[in-house]
Amino acid sequence: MTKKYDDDFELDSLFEAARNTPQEPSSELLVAIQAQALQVQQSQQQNEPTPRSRHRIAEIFESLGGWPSLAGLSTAALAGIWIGMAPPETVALTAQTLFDPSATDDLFEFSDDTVFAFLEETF
Amino acid sequence: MPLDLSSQTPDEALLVLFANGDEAAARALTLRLTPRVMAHAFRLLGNRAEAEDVTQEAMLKLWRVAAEWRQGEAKVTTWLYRVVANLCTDRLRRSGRIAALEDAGDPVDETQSAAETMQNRSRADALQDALTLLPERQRQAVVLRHIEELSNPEIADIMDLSVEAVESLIARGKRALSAELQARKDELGYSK
Repeated sequence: MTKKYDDDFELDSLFEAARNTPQEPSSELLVAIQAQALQVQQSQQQNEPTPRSRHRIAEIFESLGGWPSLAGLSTAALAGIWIGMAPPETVALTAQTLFDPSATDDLFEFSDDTVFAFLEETF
Repeated sequence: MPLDLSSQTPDEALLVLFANGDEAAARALTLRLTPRVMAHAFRLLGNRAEAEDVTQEAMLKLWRVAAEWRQGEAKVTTWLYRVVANLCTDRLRRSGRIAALEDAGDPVDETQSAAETMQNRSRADALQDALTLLPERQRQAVVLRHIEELSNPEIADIMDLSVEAVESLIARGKRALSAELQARKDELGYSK
């Protein structure tokens, strides 16, 4: 027990001696480190986009739904281009039926008699 | 209004000022942190020239990380101790050796007598000799606990270990140091 106490005591005083005699940096090292600090500081100030602008771009991107939204949008755009370039038969037929300028048939035919009859019933 | 960069300004606040381009913060951080980094690197490496290289590398890493530093996540000193340990480990492993003690300058403490200074130096040197013989992790744990005077939870954070593992490393390290230094008791002024 006494031996352990002695050993601990001696180690403590050795640690204390080490704390009291630290290796100090040379003045050249301090100057070099400070010069590096200022160099890094200046290059970061000059080259990097401001944190505010980066933040704003990120906000807009997030508000659009982020990457999943961008992937969906891209897929839809590609599908649209593909259908426009090489439409499937059913799509072509539907488009022709709906948008053919010569196809101007009315769904209902109104003669003067039916219009008058309708007005008479109403009033 | 001049900024007050006294010793009471936390390291983390200075780092934010540094990232915002404040030159005074760069100076304050250099003067405050370099001596701690240097002393720690020397205790892990036992070689002054290598410790200076590691100090410069570690501080450069700090400047580069400043812009992305997130307040409240880690203490600057904890981060630095970790970086220094990694850099020292890389050097020791690359060279496959335990660094020799050389080029150790003698800092002057005017409050001590010449005899006390000499005894302190010889004790510190003897301790450094014994420390360099310890396995790397034991050495790091003992230095952080008994020379840097950090708490065990802080050391666990730096070394990425549990507190129990840190306690075990320190206990084994101290036993090995005692055994190593036993033969030098008289020389170090511990004779009864």
